[in-house]
Amino acid sequence: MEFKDIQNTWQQQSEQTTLPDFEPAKQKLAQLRKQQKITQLILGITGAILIAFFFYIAAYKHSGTLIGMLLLISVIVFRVSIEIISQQKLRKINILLSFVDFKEQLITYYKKRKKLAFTTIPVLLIVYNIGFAIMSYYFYQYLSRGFFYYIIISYLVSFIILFYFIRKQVLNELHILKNLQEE
Amino acid sequence: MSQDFTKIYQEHYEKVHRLCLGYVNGDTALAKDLAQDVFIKVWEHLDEFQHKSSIGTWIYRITVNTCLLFIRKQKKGTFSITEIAEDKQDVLQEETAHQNRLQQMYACIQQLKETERIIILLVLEGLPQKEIADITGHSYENVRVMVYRIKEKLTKCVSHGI
Repeated sequence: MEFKDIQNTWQQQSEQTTLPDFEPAKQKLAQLRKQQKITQLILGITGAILIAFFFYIAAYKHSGTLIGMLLLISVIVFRVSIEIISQQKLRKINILLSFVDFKEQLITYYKKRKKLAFTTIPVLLIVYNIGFAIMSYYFYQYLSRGFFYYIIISYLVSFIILFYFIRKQVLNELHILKNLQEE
Repeated sequence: MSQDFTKIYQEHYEKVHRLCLGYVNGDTALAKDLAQDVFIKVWEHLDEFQHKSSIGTWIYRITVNTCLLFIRKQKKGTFSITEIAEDKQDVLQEETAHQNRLQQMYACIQQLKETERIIILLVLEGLPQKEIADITGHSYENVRVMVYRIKEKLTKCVSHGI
């Protein structure tokens, strides 16, 4: 078989392709923009509530809980900010670049993501666990045993699930980076 | 702008869809989504088109970049080479043979590296090498060498399943 035959087969294939209506795509885009605004609004409100809650705790509790809460809240806010900024950076890569330049930008983006995954994220996870350890000392003192164990077990389970998803995402991004770097 | 876009959409959809189909290993639903993404980007950036190249080249540039941006959850897709080899025993009709060859092509394209895959899809569409160089940003000389090499690789794979 020659390449010409392959090319003919290729070009004959989409005779049955029907042209889909583009209107739903326009609506989808508008909906996506709306959803992005709603997400930003929800995140903003969540951040504000967390900060307000922090000051509420700060006003009534001792320095131990204050530090614990501060660590937990800071890690969450920092982690969410990293993801939002990262997504924005990916969206901002100019789609009109040549394939080579676009690919180069994508490689740079995923290299930065890799660096984040192996430096910043583990530090954040450690800080988050320290925050929780501090808080659990106070939970142990002020809560009933049953409720205390409930919180500890729930935390461990949710941490394992969270870790699993973070690991999956990192592996996926490493796989993409590897594919992009193949020449 | 809306009328211009409709015309562009009607004229270029088929080519874009076919290229996307090759990129996602013949998965029609994914290819449709990907083609839709391409035209959303075309629609968003149409006023930035500077007529330095043909609109077709410009759309292909968006298409290949959108394909690259598309995050594949799994490398293996709809068709695999072994699957097709088994099916080949039952090939009786011409249409089935055509379909099988197409599936074999999808599977072989999937084996190629990212850049090779994009380049061969543009070659299969019948684009001149100069235009491919313009879309990809590689030099003409470079494209010429790559096209020769990838063509050989693909022909060997489709013919012998290697």
